Amino acid sequence: MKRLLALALLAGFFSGAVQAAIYRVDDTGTVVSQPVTPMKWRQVAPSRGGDNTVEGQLNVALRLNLASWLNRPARIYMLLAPTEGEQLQATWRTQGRLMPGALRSGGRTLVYDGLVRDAILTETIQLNLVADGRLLTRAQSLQFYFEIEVSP
Amino acid sequence: MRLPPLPYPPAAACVLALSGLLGCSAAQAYLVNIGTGTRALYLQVGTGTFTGFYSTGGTPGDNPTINTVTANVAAGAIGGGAQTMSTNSPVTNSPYDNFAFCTPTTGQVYVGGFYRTPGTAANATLSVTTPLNLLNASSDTIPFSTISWVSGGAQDTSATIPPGTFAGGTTQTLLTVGRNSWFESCLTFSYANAQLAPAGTFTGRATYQLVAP
Repeated sequence: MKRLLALALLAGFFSGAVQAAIYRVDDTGTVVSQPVTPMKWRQVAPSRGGDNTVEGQLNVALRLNLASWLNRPARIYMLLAPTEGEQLQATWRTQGRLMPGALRSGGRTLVYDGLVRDAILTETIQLNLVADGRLLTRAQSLQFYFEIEVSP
Repeated sequence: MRLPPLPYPPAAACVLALSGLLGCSAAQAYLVNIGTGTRALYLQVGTGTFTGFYSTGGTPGDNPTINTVTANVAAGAIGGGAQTMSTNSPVTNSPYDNFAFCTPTTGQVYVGGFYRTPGTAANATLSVTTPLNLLNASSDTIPFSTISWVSGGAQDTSATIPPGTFAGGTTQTLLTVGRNSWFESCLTFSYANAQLAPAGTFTGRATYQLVAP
């Protein structure tokens, strides 16, 4: 009887601890404004203060397919896959459909929190990339993607 | 019937799709391709050209000016000992940050530059090449090794470019320039004037080079 009670309690615990599910968002149709973004030294000449930052800017026309979560409350995150060597930081501005924010390689940032109202969410973001130019030794392909978190 | 997309991990989702149980999500990522910072090398000896100041994002340019340093030795002073050379270089302020660095009226010649590079490439090297001799119109000679320099500059507590003497007839290394660093000195030249020399105007060109691997 005790064993049955323990199992029942355990089952109750698991049913109460169900986590929100996370899905990768289909961003097919997203377009970046330039095939290669040049990373330019913030200061052409090395500074006495040691500013060796390189930075690059581009626009990204996002197209997120949210049809599967229409009319459901959700949180959407933008993620940047880990990069080789030096950590890279991305910041972005938006037109208002998504939230502006900042992100480091290997991290994620909330860009939307609310009811999914459109099957296809379109947004153009201005992406600013920053890294230590001394450590950015070769061309890279940065992989940005989106996750959506919804309650089951 | 439309199936919902699969929760993470996506790899697991695709395995399921292969087994024919569920459709694999069309999840994507957008790619941003980036390059590296460009390599740059800049050397200014005497007069130079820039737009703005380097410390505030200015851009250096090319300048073909060749400045001179000169010692006028009176007939009665020939062989009478070292004479500081004057210069026609007008550069007083550092093009880096406009700091009043050199005093051309005392013969100081601005020498500075920088080396920008990503990665761990070897350092750059500043060198100077001189012919064996200065020549006059009659092809009389004065050894280039009779000219030396000291290094200075306002609030320059230690000589960036060490003092030295032209070797003459060869290239000599003056300074190792570290990656992503700026260097500058004000050089004051002097003529040893320790020997008798024929009359005339003796000239020779010292060519400075900043070389990166």
